[in-house]
Amino acid sequence: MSRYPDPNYGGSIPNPPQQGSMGAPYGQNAVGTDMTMAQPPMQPQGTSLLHQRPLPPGASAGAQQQQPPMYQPQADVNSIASGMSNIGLQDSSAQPYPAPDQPYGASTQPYGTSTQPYGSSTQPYGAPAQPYGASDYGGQQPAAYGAPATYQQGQAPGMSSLEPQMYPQQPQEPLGSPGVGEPALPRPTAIEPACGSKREVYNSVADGSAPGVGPPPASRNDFIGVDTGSCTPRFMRLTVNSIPADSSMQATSSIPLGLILTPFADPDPGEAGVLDVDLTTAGGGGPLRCSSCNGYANPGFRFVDSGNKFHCNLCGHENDTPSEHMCATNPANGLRLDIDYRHEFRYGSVDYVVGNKDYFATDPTPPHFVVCVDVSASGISTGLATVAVQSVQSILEANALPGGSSGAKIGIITFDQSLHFYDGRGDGQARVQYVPDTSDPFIPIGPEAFFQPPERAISVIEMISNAFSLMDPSQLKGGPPPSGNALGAAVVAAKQALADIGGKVFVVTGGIPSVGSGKLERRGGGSVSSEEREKALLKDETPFYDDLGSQMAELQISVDMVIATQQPYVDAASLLRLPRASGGRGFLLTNFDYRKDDVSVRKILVNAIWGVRALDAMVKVRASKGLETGEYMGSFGRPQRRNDVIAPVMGVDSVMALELKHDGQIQTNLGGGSMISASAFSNNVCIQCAILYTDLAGRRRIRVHTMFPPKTTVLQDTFRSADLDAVVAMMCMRAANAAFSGSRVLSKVREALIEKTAHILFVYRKFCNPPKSQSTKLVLPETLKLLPVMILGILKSSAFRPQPSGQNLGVVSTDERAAALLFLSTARPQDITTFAYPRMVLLSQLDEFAGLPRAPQDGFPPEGEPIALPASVPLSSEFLADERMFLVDNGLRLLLWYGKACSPELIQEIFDMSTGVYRLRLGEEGQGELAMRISAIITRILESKSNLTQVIVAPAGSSDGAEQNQYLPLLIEDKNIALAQSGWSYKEFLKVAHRRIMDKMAQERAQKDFQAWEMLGYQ
Amino acid sequence: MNFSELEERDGLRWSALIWPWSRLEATRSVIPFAAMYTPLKNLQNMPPLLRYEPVNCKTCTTLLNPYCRIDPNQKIWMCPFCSGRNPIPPQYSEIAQNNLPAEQIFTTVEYMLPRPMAPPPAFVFVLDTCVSDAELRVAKESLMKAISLVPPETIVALVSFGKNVNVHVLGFTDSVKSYVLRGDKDYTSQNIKDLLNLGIIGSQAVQGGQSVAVQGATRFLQPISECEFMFTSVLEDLDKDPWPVKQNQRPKRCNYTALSVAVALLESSYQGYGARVVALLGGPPTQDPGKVVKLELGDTLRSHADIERDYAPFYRKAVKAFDTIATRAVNAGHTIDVFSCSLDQVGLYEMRSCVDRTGGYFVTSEAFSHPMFKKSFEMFFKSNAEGKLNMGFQGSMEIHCSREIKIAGVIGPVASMNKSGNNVSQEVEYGIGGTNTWRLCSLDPSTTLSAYFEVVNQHSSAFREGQYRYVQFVTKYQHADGTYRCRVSTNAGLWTEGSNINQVRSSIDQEAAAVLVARLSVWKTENEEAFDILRWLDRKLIHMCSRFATFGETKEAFSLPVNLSLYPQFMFNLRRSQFLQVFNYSPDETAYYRSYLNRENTENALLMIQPTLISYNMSSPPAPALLDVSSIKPDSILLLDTFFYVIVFCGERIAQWRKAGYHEDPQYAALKALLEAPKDDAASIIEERFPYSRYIEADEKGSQARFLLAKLNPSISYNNEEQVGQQSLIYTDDASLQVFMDALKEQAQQSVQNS
Repeated sequence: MSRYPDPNYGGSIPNPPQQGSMGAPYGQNAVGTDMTMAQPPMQPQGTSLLHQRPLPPGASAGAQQQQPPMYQPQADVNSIASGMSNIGLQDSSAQPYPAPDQPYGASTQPYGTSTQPYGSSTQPYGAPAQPYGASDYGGQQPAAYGAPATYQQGQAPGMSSLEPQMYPQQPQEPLGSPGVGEPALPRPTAIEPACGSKREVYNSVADGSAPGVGPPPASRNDFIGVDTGSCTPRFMRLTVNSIPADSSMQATSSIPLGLILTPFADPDPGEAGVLDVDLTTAGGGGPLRCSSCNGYANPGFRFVDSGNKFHCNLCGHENDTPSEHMCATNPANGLRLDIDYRHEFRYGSVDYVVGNKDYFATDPTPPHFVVCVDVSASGISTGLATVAVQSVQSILEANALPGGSSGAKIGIITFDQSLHFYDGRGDGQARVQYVPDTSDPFIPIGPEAFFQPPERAISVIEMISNAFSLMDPSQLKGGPPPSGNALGAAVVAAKQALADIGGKVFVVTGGIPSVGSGKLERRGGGSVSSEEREKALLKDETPFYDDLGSQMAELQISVDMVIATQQPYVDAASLLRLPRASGGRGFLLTNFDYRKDDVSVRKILVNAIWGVRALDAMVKVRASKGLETGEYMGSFGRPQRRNDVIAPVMGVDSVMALELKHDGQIQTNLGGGSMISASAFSNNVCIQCAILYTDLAGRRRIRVHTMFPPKTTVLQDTFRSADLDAVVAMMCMRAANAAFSGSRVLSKVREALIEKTAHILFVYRKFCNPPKSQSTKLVLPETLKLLPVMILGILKSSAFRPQPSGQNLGVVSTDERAAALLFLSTARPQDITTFAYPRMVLLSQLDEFAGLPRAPQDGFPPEGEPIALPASVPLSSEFLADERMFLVDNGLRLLLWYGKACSPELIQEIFDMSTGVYRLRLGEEGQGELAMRISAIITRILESKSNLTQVIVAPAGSSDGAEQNQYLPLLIEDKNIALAQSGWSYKEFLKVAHRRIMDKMAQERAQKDFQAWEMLGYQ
Repeated sequence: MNFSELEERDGLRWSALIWPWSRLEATRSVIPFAAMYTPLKNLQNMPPLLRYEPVNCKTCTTLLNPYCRIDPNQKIWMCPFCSGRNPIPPQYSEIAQNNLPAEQIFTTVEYMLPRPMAPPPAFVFVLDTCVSDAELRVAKESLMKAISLVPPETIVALVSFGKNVNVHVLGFTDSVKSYVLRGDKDYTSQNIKDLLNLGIIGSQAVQGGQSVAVQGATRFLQPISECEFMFTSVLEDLDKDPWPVKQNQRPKRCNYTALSVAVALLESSYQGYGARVVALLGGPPTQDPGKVVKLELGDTLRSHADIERDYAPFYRKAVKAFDTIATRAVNAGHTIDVFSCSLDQVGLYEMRSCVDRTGGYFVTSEAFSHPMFKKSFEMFFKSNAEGKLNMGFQGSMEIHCSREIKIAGVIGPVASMNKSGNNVSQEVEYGIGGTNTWRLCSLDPSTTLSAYFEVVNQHSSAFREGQYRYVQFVTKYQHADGTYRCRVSTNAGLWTEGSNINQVRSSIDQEAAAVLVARLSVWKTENEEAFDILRWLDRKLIHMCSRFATFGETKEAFSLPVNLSLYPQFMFNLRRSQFLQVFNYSPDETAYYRSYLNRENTENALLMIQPTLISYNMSSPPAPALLDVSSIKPDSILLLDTFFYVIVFCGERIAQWRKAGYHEDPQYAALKALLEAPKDDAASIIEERFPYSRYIEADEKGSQARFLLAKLNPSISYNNEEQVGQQSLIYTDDASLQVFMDALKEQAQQSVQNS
């Protein structure tokens, strides 16, 4: 299906044609708009609706009774019950929301102090005496949301009940499908296209009309973006696709206004790449730009006076057309006659190749890379150095070094307690120079010796392999490798090597730097005793890495860092500041095990190197008069020159988030349009992102992405056009930055996230809800209906999860925390939403199309459709069953869980366990059909990730902690008693949010100034 | 008296053999009472090595010598130095007047001490890579040649430097590896040891039962037999310093740090064993604490005038820096040799203490490709007939003397070991004094020390006829073959009563005296602030003449005895020499020249002060000629040997003949023979000399003639040109010898009259 349309707003967009083929009426969801939810259960306490959710037929009653494979034990349910009863969700009419003197937190029996905490349950976890289905869901559970009885019966237009199921109902896959009349909670599973369906084709500008108002397709779903005059969501997403007209309206809406840029994202199969506009041959001039605001040519430029003049749609300035860009206009429609040849007037994204010296700060050079590999004990004995070196070697041998054919060069530094440099000029024999002075490091060899073209670098790699016996560590000469790790010094040396030319540095370390510059003390590592302590540990120990990163960014150098360690503590919080400050990415692999994690490191490295697209880049975002740029977040170098952001190196994964601020009333109708029709964009805002950069071949280029969101004065429009992915991403980035900077304790950050969520929903409830629905129901805007569950997921993720009290389940080490926070602050929207609400699919029974490729239908897209993924299921432990097998992907990890009754043969068909670890069999003989399809699914997921390579297999009841510590925490809809307050189940969280909204309603009602906005919203 | 014969016996040359009895008389005699001593001189009449420990006096530690009286009956021997009585040790029980051990017969003997062998000597090569590719290639070839010359068990290490210092791994490696240290950083010795892991003492790597190098340093220090391939590969791979040099700049060079690293390498692993740091420098240090000049070419290297007027901003700091290296090397007993190959100065003046105090050599030439470097370098590593290097290591020299005299100091390539004793003068210090033992980090057969003494007898003390003064030199060192040696020279000399001036006068060795005074004057000018050395020299000469010359009524009646007749001329030439005149000489040249004056034997030192001139012509056999411009004759060829260079100078007519090619005509074979004779002689001189002398061919009135004219007495200059007509003349304001002598006679006479 295409964008999930809101028929009330979009008006004419028909429902997707193929929905009928699915077993479940998918469109039912599509027609649904706003959701309402009764707050109080109508049933008396003690009767639950939840338990009525039918159990999957596959889970036989007997099995359930014998061993409930669930995460929530008896105690959990009890506490839910007790907690709910205490909050007082008994009857909406009686008590719509708690009295102000009884705030949520002060409830007499908060969750955290449940009489029957998880750990001390008298009924042991999984005890057969309390069968899962029998008593838990039997009668104790209070009614929660979505009971049919709570629905508003005559809903206002634009409102829909919770009734539509959230994932397609399939005859053979009844998992989680609601029973008749059983409503479900809004989940990302609901917005997925049906398994095996054709990818949606998303036109950035609908034919013959102004750019759309609805949000683009969800980033985590497959779609084909077509640039029909405006930039596709592949490159740029706005948090709201209708821009509030002025700042007070924006302040009221409370949805963060901003955009998420992934300017160098690779096109999906079937998508056209960004088109080139080559200016190097056309007289050497630059691109057509407005002489007033310097905005670049875009489809919004309107040519007048037979093409002699044009109006800039950003600032409204009337410019004389320079002679080199002169072209007459067609008097009939005002379009330039050369429009068919001038991509910049036709498409939202173009890539100029410039020859004009104005765009060169220095002579552009082909990319230069430096790889720093840890060959100390922490790198050699764990096998990390071997993987790192092999990865680089494989890239070189495959001739896949970015810019390799146009003069790109690579230099390699290895380090233990000293630094080792390799001079690759010699014939066959490389020469090594050791720099033992790591407190004052330097690069001892000249650039022509250090940097080598790929073919020569291969011999250097071989030399390193031999020197450290990387292929056979038992042959290591000269005793055990030194334990000292001079990572900081190695990076300083890399900085010196690249100081004049800029470039990309990849650091691979197996441990904490222990000698020389940037040496770190082991200040943490044990259990984190308090929040203040954790805050201190998340702050860097020394400003060394932050400063170094900033200095490198100034020199147009960016660092990616891979920490793959067996050490319990590597102070990732300090180390990861280096990639963060230099616009790179950081990866942390704890409990590194060469046998299974080798491919992960390899993939991370290979993708990081291969993914480099732009060097020496500078990003500038311009917007229509009335809008200005605010805070930048994401992966770029810290130093900002006024409004230009230095991004030393950008790649396919580079993300930048940018806040937009109002600078008065937004002025539109400045330019007009050149493409669709003279008036097509006339009322639209223009937001343009220009990136001046050097491409891999050493050419200077400017990539320009332009969008034309409409301006609105209707508050509801902002909600209708809100882009969940961008909103979540903006919120997460901001929260992650606050936590990582160490300025806020985590609980404050969590609180801010919850509060912001509640506030957005409150605004919607207050200003956009039809007056008629003045009830106590929880009302969610259709576009943001997943916001609560996303935020809940983030709160329960390793980035923000509170440390469990007294239990090991879900403990997050400071290192993992830091890595997750860095990930959040630099991840793409699709990564963030996946991180927030992991994708869990059932593998033991597959949909009809799942795991199979689909041939092109109707000849488009020519490549056909990718392997279809099974529909995902809610992240709740109640679906776990002995004979089931699940795959869950949270963007950082891919876990495979299987119950005790799963066929070991199937596992062995999927995985090769001969080496003692689970290795995915890929395309091997002897796989059954199911195993082959499962392998295909896993492979498809892995291929779509730049950092994931490996399936962590977590069998039920596994003793290695994979299930307990990695799998179960991902089931975010479950209640986690150990996490105290934040251990809310999904339903509880909605309750919390609802309570806050109602609190606000109570308070804000008295505030007069909001009245005005209410009026504004309904004008 | 034939002083050379005496020198052949003990390697000793005294300024005077007979000394006045009292301090007062000694002072009046003006000349220093001192000896030129060549400890390792190859002596014809020395007995074979004595393979046992020497016997020493219990009281004054003097070793048993021929002047000891033996009383075989009482089994005692009397020490002539302290009159102590010592029992004859059991191994000498057979001793009798007609059965004496060698040390009782020969005044100079050498013991080979029965001790475990020292490890083979180590050489750390320090190679400057901031030179042109061609130069570097030649330097590398020379290094290859060097390691092919030295015995294969010799231990070598290679340190190359430019902007940074590379210490190359020669052991346990299958690839070319080096450790790099920052060139512009002042590492302490401890830093270097830590960074290079030199301090780690692992299992001792034993090679042939000899090597004692510890694990950490064995990576860098390896016997040639083990590492020749590696050494060669490293050298082959060694490139010019890769760091770009800007158009108007010098390369970044860290001579100081490189030396410091090399010294540290040896300090930590080879302390107490023979080792040399051999530095091949191509230019001045420009960035480290030893920096002597700025990077910019516009900043010229300091001159003597700059240093004097304190216009040399880096001078003091650099001297201080190199002094610390010298001190470290001396403490470890290691030598630093500097081969500088640059058209410009390289800062030898600042680093002179590194070479002078450690017994090293300076060799300078314009380029690595210049024969002066190549030949000198080869000679340096040449082995002797036994296949061993011609040098000793870790030496020390102790002087014993009888009570009437005390030791005033030693001048030479030595460092003080600060060992005081009763025989050390408290009042005067000539050269390195305040000790009776000096360290000679290395020494070779030409190393010659000058030892100065003070007569301390009071004038009133009774003089007894036939009393002798005794001086014993005990030199211990490691021979290149690994054995520990001890050479003992004992000398007895006569006293004479103070009034008997003739005896003293007749025993003066004017050559030795001149060299001793020259060394002393150089010492004074270098170590005493604002010292006017020429006035001091003049005064000394006048006093000496007034003491020893005979005077008449007229000036012409002034005469000196035969054995002193040349002394004024030596002084005249010394005054004009590069040792005391710094005008027209760079500080580096000065350091270089003075270093040789202080280490060569009497003969060579005198040659430096007053070159020899031999005249060749058709009519007579070659004959020494006056060092005077009047010796230039159109039909003669002159051969001038100044030690540092050798000039063959053709008279005007001979030059014309040669240019006309007559010598190629068989008819004029005699001319050919005449042309070749001085060249052959020059070649044979140069062949034997270290450092390899610069060879110059010059024609009268040619540009190269200036080298000759600078050394000649300007008896004909434009002051008196008219009197002599068409002769060659020297354009100078300097006084000629005649003028000098006239003034001297006058002054001496006045001095006599005044006293």
